[in-house]
Amino acid sequence: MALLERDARVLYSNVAAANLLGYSADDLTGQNFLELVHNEDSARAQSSFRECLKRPGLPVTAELRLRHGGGAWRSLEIVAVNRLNVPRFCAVVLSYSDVTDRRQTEDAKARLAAIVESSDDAIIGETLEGVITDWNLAAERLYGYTAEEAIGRSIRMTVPADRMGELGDDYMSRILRGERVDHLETVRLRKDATRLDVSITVSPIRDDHGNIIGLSKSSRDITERRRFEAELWRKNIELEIANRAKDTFLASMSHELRTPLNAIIGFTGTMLMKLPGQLTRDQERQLQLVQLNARHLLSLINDLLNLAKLQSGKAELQFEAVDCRAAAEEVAATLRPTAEAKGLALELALPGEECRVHTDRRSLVQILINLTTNAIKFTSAGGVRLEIERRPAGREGPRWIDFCVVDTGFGIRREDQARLFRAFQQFHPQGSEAEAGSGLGLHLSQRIAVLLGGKISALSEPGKGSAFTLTLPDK
Amino acid sequence: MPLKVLIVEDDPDSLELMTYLFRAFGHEALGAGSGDMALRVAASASPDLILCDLRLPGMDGYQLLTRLKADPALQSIPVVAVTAYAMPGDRERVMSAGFDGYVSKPIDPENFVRQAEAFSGRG
Repeated sequence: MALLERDARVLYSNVAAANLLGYSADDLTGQNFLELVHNEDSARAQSSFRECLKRPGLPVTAELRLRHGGGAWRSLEIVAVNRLNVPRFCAVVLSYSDVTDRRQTEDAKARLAAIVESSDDAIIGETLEGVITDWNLAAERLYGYTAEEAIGRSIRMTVPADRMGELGDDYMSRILRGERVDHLETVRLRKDATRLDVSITVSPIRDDHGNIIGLSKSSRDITERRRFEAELWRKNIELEIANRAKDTFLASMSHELRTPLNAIIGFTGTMLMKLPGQLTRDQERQLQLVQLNARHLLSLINDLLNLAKLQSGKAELQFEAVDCRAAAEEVAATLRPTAEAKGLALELALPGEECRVHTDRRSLVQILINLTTNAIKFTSAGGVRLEIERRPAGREGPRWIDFCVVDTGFGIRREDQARLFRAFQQFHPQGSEAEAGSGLGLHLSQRIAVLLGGKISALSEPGKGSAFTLTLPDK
Repeated sequence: MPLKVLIVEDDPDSLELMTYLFRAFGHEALGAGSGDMALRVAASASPDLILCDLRLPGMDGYQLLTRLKADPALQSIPVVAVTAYAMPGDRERVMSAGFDGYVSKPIDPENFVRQAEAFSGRG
C-alpha cells in the first residue's frame, strides 16, 4: 500500500509496496508516482489519476508499466481510491500487484492468435472426438463456415462421405502416439457442398502435462496446383507424342534416303569391281566420281540426321565406366587402313596404367573417329597421333581427361579458327586435296562433347599442324 | 564351297544388287519379297544363310526372325539384318532382338560378300 498526495507525490509506502518496485520505503517516499510510469502509459496514468481525484471513494483501476528500481519495466495492476477527504488518510490510497508475467503470457498469446488469424492456411483445432474448438479466418475463407458456425460442431461436416475412411483408426492411433500426419492430400467439402482439393497437416495438441488432448490441422487449398499438375501432365503427353512423331519421321527419313543410295553405291561398286566386265579409262574415272559423290551424300545424310536427333534431345546416352585405352585402340584399328593408304602413321600415346572415364562409350568413339578422320584427311605427310592424358586432380570439381588428336597437316588459317565448330563450315587448306565434307562433323562432335559435360578445343599453326583436344569430366 | 543364301528384300533394286554380288562370287542366291514367302523358301530350300530386310510388307524382319528361330528345322540358320535403319542405336536394337548379324545400307559392295561369308560360319 502507498499513500499519494494530491500532486501524486508519495507520502508513505509500506515495505511490500516499495519492494515490489525495487525501492526501499524511504527512497520511494517523496517521489512523484506518475513520473515512474512508462512514457507510453503516461497519458492514461494522468487521466486515471484525475478521474480518481474527481470521484472520492470510488476505486479506479489501471494497468501501467512502471520503472523498477533495477531499471526494468514492470506491469502493475493498480487500484487507487481517493480518500483525501477521509481524516484518517488525507491521501490517495494505492494498492498494486505485479502482473508482468501474466502480461507477457497474454501478449504472447495475442501474438500467436494474430499469427494464426493472419495465416493463409486454414488452421483448425479439434478435440480428440472431432469437435471443432478453433477456426481461423483462413478456415472461414476455405470452408465457407464462420468461426461462430463451426466451433462446437463436428469436423465431419467438412469430410465427404467417400473420404470418411481417412479418419479411421490408423490415423487416430498415429495422432495418439504423438506423430504428425504431413501433407495428406485429399478432398474436403465446403459449406456450399462443393468439393475442394486440400493438403492437410495434422499434429497433436498436448496439455501442460504432455497428454494429447486434441489435434491441430492446417489445410491448404491445392485445387489450383492440382489443375496445374493435370495441365502439365497433359502437355507432357502431347510433347511426348510430338517427339515420338519426330523420331519416327527421322527414322523413316533415314531409311528412305539410304535405300536409293544402296542401289547407286552398290551398282557403281559392282562396275568398278569390274564384275560385269572391263571398263574404259573414262568410264572408270566417271564411275569413281559417281561413287565419291554418292558417299559424300551419304555422309551428309548421316550427319544431318544425327544433328536432327541431337536437336530433338533424343540422343540416348549411357554413362558407364569406359576403358579409354580400349576406345582409342578401337579408333586406331578402324582408321589405320585409311591413314596407311595415304602413307601416314597413326600412333597412340596412351597412359601406362588403366584409365577409365565415366561417359557414353559410343559418343566418345564417335567424336574420336571424327577428329582422327579429319586429321588424316588434312595431313599429307608425317602422321597423326592420338594421346590420352589425365589432368592432375584439382582441389575441387571433376577430374578431367584430355583426348588429343595431333597431326602434322596443313593446319588451320587463323581467320578460319573461329568458325571451326559452326555448322556448315567447310575448310580447304592450302595444299590440301581433301574433298569437302558435310561441314557438320566438328559441329556435331562439339555438341555431343557438351552433352557429355565436356568440350573440344583446337590449337593450330598453319603449315605445321593442328591439335584437337576433347576434354571430358570424370566423376 | 558355295553358299546358298536366301535374301529377303522388298526393294527390287536392292534384291538385284545383292543377288548379283553373291552370284558373281560363285554363291547361290534365292530371293523372297516378303516374310511369308521367305518362310516357304527357307523350308523348302534349307539355305546356309538368311539376309533379311527389316521393313517388309506384312510380317516385318523382327517377326520373321521370331518365326525362323521358333522353327526347329530353321532355327540353326544364321539370320543377318540388312537394313537402311542405320541411326545411332539401331545396331544395338537389332542385335538385342536376336539377329546373328547387322549390315547397314547402303552396303559396301567390295566387302559385302566377305561379310556375309563370315556370318555363315564359312568365312
